Amino acid sequence: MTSFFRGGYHRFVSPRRTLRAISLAAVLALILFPSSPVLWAQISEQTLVERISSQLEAGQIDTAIDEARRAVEQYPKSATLYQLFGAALFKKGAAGEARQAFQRAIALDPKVVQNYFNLALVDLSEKNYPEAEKSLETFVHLEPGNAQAHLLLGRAYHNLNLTLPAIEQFKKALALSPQLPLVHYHLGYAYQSQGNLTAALAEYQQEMKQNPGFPDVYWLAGNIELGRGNLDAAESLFRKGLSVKPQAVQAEYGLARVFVARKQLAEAEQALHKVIELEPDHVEAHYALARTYQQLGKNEDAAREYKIVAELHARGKNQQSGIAGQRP
Amino acid sequence: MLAVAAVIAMHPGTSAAQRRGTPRLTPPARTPAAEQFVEVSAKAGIHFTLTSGGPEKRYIIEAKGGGGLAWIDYDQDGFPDLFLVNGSTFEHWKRGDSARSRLFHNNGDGTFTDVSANSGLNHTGWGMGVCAGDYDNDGRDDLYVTYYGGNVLYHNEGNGRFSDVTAKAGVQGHGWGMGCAFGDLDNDGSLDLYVANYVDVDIAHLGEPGSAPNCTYRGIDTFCGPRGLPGGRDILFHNNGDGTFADVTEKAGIDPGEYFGLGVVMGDYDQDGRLDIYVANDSTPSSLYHNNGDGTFTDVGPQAGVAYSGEGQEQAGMGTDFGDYDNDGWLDLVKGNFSDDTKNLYHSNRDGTFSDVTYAAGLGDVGWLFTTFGAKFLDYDNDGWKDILLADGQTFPQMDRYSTGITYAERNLLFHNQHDGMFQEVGLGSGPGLAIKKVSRGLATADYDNDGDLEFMISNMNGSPDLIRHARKNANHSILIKTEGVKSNRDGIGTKVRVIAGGLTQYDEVRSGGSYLSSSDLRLHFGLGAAAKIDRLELTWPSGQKGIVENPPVDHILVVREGAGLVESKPFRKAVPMPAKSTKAEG
Repeated sequence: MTSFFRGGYHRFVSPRRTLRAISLAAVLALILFPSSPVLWAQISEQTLVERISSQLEAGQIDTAIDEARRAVEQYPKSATLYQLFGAALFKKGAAGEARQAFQRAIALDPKVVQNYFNLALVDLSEKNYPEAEKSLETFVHLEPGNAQAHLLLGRAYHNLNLTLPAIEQFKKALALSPQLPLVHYHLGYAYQSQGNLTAALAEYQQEMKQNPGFPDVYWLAGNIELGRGNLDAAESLFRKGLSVKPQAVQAEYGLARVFVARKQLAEAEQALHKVIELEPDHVEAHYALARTYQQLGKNEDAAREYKIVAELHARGKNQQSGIAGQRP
Repeated sequence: MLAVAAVIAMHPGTSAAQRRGTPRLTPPARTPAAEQFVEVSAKAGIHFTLTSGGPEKRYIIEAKGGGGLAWIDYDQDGFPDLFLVNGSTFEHWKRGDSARSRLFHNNGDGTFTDVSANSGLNHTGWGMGVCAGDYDNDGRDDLYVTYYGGNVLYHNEGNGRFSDVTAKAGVQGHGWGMGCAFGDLDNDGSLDLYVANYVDVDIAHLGEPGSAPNCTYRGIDTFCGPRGLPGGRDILFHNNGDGTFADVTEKAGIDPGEYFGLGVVMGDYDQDGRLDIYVANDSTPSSLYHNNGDGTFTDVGPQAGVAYSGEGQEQAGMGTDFGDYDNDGWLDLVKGNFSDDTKNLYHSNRDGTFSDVTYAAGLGDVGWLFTTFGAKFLDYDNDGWKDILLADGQTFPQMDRYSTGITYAERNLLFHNQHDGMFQEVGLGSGPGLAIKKVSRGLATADYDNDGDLEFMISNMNGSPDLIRHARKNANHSILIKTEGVKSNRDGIGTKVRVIAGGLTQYDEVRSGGSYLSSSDLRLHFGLGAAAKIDRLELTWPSGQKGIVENPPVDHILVVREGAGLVESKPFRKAVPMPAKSTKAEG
């Protein structure tokens, strides 16, 4: 699920620059007095950039944060150091501080487009879609050829109820980078939220080809096939989803629904129990189990399950008006 | 972190298992694409604006309230007249000078005259819904109108005037009345009355948009509710047979959960000879009250499979209707819901349970973004198979500020029955009458010009209603059946009618109420396709009496009386030409 950002994230946040030669004095100082703050201050900005970048790449996040914190004190006008500081903080999960660091980096050097992207990542992580939208719009204006940015902007749009512009962004991302992971998934989901299941299914299938290790598309596509009565296709998709992500609740539930649709009631009962074991409050599974019990003539069990369904729904009261759709 | 949440918003229907092998009627003489509809309300002299709060819909009553309409032949001239319920604004409601509801007399020539001034239909308030029925069996249909803050029963005096008999009859109710329906629930010959209540709030003290979690939709600030607001308990009135009613809600076991009731329809879904009640509830489980035959009812909605979506999710039910769309002799159900959700088509399994076949029948994808209020089965092309018409319109004008694909004003959806359990949405190809985009609510059908094909009236928020008729009548045959009860209630509401013609048996029941807060013409309409001959009609009256009418004529209005059979038969009129210009109102 987070594969999109794992591994790919760091190359966006720490653009390495060619180091200038470190002065001999500084090298000597480091050798002789490695822990001296006075002498530490004499290290050039470029050296610090390199060291912090290396620490980040090595996963030494706390060390990188400490070093970057001192570095920005030493070089408060360095946009690059603030950028690295933000990256380290973000990797640590300190989104608020990371945001401040990236904002400072932008203030220091508005031309470094990468920081708009970084800032957007922070905002997306906190579901602050309006702010992410602003940063990404600036980014794609400055760097229109970045497919990742179009993908993220599409996600921001979709979460801001701008589904049609989101679709446009996903298409732009695909035009720039046809193999970019998760674009077909998000485009499919946007189509699905429009009720266009045919287009959604086609996108999910594309995602499966390009990104077979991403499990969600299997059960999303499986649900569409199931709704169309293509039970064999649905079962195959749910099983593939389970092979990628064993015990994935939605895939298990989809499989159970295939059994229900086939009137394989014993199998359905067993599969639904498994879903409920994985997710005890899965209201749809309880409902399907109630219907299954009813068909099996187990009326007391059915009544119990219907009661659970009603109770689970009652818990969801006072939430939203109407029935709101949900987006990834 | 930045996880791509594995969330699904789609709930496809159950399966294709319900695609039963249904018999095929003689192919229709015309294809559905040939049916063209036009809007003629102004030309027909129907000048009316449904008032319902301000344009921003800051409060729930402004968005959900009002829009009821009824076809009622109040003067028994054989032409259905039209009653349109009006709403209000906060200003007018507080001052007590809300806009009046309107009664339009059908002139029989395709035009109507506003006869409200002398009709006695004088009550004003924040009007909601209406149902028609002859509650005192005097041969004249009466009107029950629901309001926020107390409902009104109008007795039809027979001279073109109605009188308010609410207090005497004891049917004022309480709270916020919405849909209603008349039906003889105990088969004693008198029509009982069901009233759906929505939320139990003081509308003078409603929360502001965005002020609480239940005051948002998709993260957008909207009016509050219904979730988070206390529900109103529906009311069941038993007709005492002497012009008065008794509130039997508690004793009958109605709506103990106080769900958010909107549309109401009655039908004998399990064929046990007693009318049952289905209530489309908003954001709560919808209710199917099985008539136990002893004055009590049991909500079997969950067990019957019609309380939730096919997957067990609560939905925002609005309007609803019973109808046998696959001609298997059992009533199916259609229900309108909110956007980001499917509408429901529940197919009867013929054992007292239903299956949600929304996706399998082809209604799932196209309806996803629409918010459906009015919902009706109707055979618009007279091919012998009931189609589905959905009247649509969002509740949140705020949606127009976002590019979601959801719009506040929406077109209405017309699903053509493909005769194989499947439907095809044909609205966009069905003429300008179905291309209209408004914020629709009420929907009711009638063959108001008695030419053999159905027209429909649709109410629109803060706008004029649409009277939609065929641009041309097609070549298919049809009949209208008016039932007259003798031992049974005079309207024959609840009478089961089977029409055997052209190798097909169609089934329907006479009903009042249904759709969204509306009431269609009580005469049953059956399309016959190319069949120029009817083998017979089979009727089962609420009293239990059965009747058969052999070889009645096609293309006629048939009056069938309990115990007497066919007592009157009039040929359809030729299609009335399109009105050339607007007619003036009377007063």
